[in-house]
Amino acid sequence: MLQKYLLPVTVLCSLFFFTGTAPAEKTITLMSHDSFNASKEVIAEFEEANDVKVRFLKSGQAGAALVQAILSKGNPLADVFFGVDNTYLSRALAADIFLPYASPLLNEIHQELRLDPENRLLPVDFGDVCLNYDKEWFSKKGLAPPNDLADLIKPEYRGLTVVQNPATSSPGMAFLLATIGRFGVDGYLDFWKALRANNVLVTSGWKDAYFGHFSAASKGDRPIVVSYASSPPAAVFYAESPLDEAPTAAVVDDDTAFRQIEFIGILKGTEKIELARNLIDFMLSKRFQEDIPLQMFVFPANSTASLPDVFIRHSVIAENPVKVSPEAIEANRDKWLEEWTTAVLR
Amino acid sequence: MSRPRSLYRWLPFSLPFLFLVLFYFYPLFGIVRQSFLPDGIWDPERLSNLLGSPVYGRILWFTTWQAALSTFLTLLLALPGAYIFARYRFFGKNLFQALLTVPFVLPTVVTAAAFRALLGPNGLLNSWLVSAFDLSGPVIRIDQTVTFFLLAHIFYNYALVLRIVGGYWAGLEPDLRAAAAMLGASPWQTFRKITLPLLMPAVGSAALLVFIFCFTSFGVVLILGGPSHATIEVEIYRQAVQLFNLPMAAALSLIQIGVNFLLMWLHARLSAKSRVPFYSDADAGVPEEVNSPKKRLFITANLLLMGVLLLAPLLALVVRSVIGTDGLTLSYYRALFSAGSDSIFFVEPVAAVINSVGFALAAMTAAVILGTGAATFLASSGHKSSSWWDALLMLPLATSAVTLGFGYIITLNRPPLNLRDSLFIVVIAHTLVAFPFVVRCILPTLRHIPQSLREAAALLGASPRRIWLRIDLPIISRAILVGAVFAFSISMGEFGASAFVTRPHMPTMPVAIFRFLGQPGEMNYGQAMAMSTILMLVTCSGFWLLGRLNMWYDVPKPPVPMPTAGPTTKPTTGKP
Amino acid sequence: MKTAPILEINSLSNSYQGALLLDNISFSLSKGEILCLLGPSGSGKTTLLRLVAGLEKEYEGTIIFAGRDVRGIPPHQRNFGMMFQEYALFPHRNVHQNITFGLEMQGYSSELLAERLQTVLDLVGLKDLTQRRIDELSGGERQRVALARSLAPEPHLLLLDEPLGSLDRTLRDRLTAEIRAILKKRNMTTIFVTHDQAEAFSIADKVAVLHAGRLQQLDSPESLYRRPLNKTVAGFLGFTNLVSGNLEADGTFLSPLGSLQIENAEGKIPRQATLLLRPEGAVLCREKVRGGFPVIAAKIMDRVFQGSTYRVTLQVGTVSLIFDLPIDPSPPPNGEIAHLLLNPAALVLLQE
Repeated sequence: MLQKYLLPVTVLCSLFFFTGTAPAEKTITLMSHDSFNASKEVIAEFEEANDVKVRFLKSGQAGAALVQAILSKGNPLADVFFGVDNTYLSRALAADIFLPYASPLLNEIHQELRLDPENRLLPVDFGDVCLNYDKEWFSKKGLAPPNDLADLIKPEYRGLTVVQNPATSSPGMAFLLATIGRFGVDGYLDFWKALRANNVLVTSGWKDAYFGHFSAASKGDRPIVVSYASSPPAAVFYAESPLDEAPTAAVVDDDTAFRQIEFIGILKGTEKIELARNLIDFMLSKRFQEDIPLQMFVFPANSTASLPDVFIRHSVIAENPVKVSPEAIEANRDKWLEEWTTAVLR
Repeated sequence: MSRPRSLYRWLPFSLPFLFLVLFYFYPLFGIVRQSFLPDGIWDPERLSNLLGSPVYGRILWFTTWQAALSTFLTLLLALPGAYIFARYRFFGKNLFQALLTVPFVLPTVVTAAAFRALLGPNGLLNSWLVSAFDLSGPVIRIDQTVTFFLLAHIFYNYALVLRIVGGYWAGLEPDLRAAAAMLGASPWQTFRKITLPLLMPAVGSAALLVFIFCFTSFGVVLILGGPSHATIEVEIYRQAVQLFNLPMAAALSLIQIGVNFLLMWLHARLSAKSRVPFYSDADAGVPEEVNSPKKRLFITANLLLMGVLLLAPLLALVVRSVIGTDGLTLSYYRALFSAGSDSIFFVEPVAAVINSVGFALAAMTAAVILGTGAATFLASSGHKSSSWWDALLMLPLATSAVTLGFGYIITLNRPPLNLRDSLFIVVIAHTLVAFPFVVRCILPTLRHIPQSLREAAALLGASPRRIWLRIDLPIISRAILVGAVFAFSISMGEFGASAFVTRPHMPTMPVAIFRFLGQPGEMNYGQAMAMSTILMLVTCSGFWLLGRLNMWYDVPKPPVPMPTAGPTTKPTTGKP
Repeated sequence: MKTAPILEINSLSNSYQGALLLDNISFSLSKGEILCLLGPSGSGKTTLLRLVAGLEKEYEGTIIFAGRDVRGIPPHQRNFGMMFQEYALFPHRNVHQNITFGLEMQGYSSELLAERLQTVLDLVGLKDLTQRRIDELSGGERQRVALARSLAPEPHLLLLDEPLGSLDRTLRDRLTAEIRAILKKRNMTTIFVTHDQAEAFSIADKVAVLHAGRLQQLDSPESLYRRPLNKTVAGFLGFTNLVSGNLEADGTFLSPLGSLQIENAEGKIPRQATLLLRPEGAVLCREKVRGGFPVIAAKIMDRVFQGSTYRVTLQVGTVSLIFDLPIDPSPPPNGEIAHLLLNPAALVLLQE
């Protein structure tokens, strides 16, 4: 007669499963994209100091998370939102969903990262989207690795590169912006047409490009991939057997990289402004900032934060990344994407 | 007399109806209204593109033909498989069946990795060909081709056809085939003129589901097909998320829903018409012994095909999870249990398993309850009205996950339905996709229960409730289990709208896999593969357990003619 | 008149998972003959039918039809007709489409097809139902459709598997007569499976009694009734007056009934044996009868008037006997002793 009780037992079990996870006492909610990460003990420090529990809401990729934040305008899902990057900055600000907050820690933040003069969105980290290449592959072939985006359209680089579709991937978008910065609004399409002729591979997202096609990760056959300047240290840090040298290298020569900056802001409509401010202060503080590199593999925005060893040894920062203003991005995004899609995919 | 009767008819439908209204129609209506009329103003300008640009016609055309082709190919390959599962007994049948359903839960990225490990430029097959024939480069180049995602669609949907059609096939009266043979029909003629027409309700159901899945395909086309192929679903995502063109996304969603609704209505119409009660007193579906070399060859060939098409990629994943830079290693599994434990989002594999199984059980239970209620209602209503309701019930399957996910954000935002950021929303999203499935699995069987059985029970003094419990339920219990298996898988694989709902941190296995694949490094990739292997293992055991359950149900055989559907895993009782 | 047999079955055996279903069966059938396979369920009669049809393929022995060993000929090329227990009518085709299915398979032209359809419809009397769906037919109508369907392609051999099994008694009696008439009209060689002896007797030229996979007896209905070979056959034919005793060398049978003289007692070797007293082989008589006819005295336990006969239950010592007696003279009331004169031809000594 076991089957007779099966249904009630299952129902009870699932109820138990859910009641076991009911939210506790005082909380503050941080909404972010799926890539957000932090150390347990760092978050615990904040929780202890403020006698609060931090609740994390994950809302998909950066773009999807922002759309959801905008859709819930006025009746926000969370108190604080992390993960607007500079390509979406104008859209986020135009949607008017963030409250200004001039954190006292802003003076420790690199000046060039602060893109919103009203401080509705405050920079937390940055990463340079750039080319990564497979060091072993290039030394074996005796080919010089690229140091300019224009190298990619040379005949000897035919079929070596994999990039992401800017319409579905945020590093893809960043790289498109890098080419626009490097070749100008008038020249970038010619570059892409040449790149297409040079047998570039376009994937839909970063995961697929890096783990599916990059020769230095898994079993791909393309030695050049669009990734982050911090990917080489990640490859070392997450190596299966300890490495002395990174298997990959990032290309950060002038005008080859686009700097992606991630921002945080307090959502309009929150009832916990004081706590939200505390959380932002904490996330801009040295303690949290020094945790960023090894958790999210991007660089801290706080100039006083020191980098972990693996970053010091294996990472590089672009000195002169490409610059495209958030306003220009917002104004031209549709047009650029449309033009790019026509030139590269159709 | 007619009043209480019709009330009884509507009773089982009340719950599914309420569920659909609250968690489907209301959010959908909300997001469509918000998209078309932001601030109450109709702004057609952002839609002008839709009519003006040939791109959208092209996308609709591409979506349709690739779905049709995928469906056709899946049926073509899976029907022989369904046949051998329905008709024969062979070694390892249950295990095989469980394994074949595993692809259903794999995240697309993992499927892509599996196929590449086999067929990629440096995959197993290419390396072997290159070394065997001394070639200069890989021969098989399927990446970003139509072939690749067609292959993946078959990979995902094969089990669907196998289960739905196979179960029904096993229940077909064997004497009908014998009768056709005695009248001079060759085996092929018998199949074409007798078996196939009789299988049509099941084939139709399976084909419809496969078509809808392929029509709304997102990850498979996005990742495997490459960026130059886009289905409507991909375009909706692009419009909504990247371009923030919500009116365009909503319009495309409505087109997608419209096309599928038409199809579902048509299917419902046809299948309600073919409501032919047929069953036999004989214990139909007792699997045959494999006793001739021809049969053996046919079965082996089919199992081989399944092995190559479906199991080899799975095996490739398992292999990949134990191979490190220096050969065999268990370091990825060790790391799963220890490394990264300083992260706030680190999750013990055991916890991820518990979370996944918890969600899956909850969604499965809800889907079975709602699906059974809805199917009971549909089976008891008249042809015309039931086809509308039927098609309506199926809509969640055909609805853009992005659109619905966003709909939840703007509608389920205040008490008592403030669910948009609770864990329940995940279960609801899974249930929404899973329960039409359960309906599809149960309905053909329920329709073929002869009314006379119920009437006989009524004359013996059974109330409608008891008739349902004692007659209908035992007969459909096996079909329910098939539905339950898929509901479980849909939830395990985080299918559909759940990918676009905001959720508190509650890492399931697919979430963990995604987290690993989010950062570079050999260790991350290896752990993703290891987690995928665990996901497969857990799913497979789940199926196996459900299969056991199936056998329990089989022991006390209902004292009525056997129904015409259900999985093929019943023990044999002797010769017909 | 002896014609060459059209169907010959030689030493046919079949087993399934180690269990013997058919054990060394042999018989033959002439053109136009109707053979009934009679036996309880599980006796192997359906298996035998399916083997002849070619639906089951594993067997030892030979099946020869029209001089040809049919082993290896798939069922659809044998041109045998078969009517199934539950009729196996195609639920997705209407009456017309069911009946013409076999003709379609043979590639008939539409005129020829219509003509043949008309003929079989006339034969089974189904004229007005051609456009009906199968689930709209009554049991009797289904049975006719099934018969018409199996007859339409003019099979060389017709196999009927309990075709009247699910019908009620009256309908059944009428249909048996009809079927026999139809089959005879067509001179159709037929094997008919049933577990009902009345049905078998009224339809068959020959009856084969099967039990536990063995052919017990093959005879015309009358000889079968008159001289069942053994207890199994007798029991299956519904005979209950079975008395065990000893056969003496002089042909007398000693039992609780006394000493009875048996005609044609085989071999007359003294042995233990069972005697069958057929129920119609007795009349009431006075105490003493001349001519040495066997007489027994028995106490009347029960008497039921049945119209043309009285069914009387009698007790002789520990033996209980049932006889169908003529209504004149009417039997004495219950409790009285009656004397019965036995017809020697109705005393059958059974083989063990």
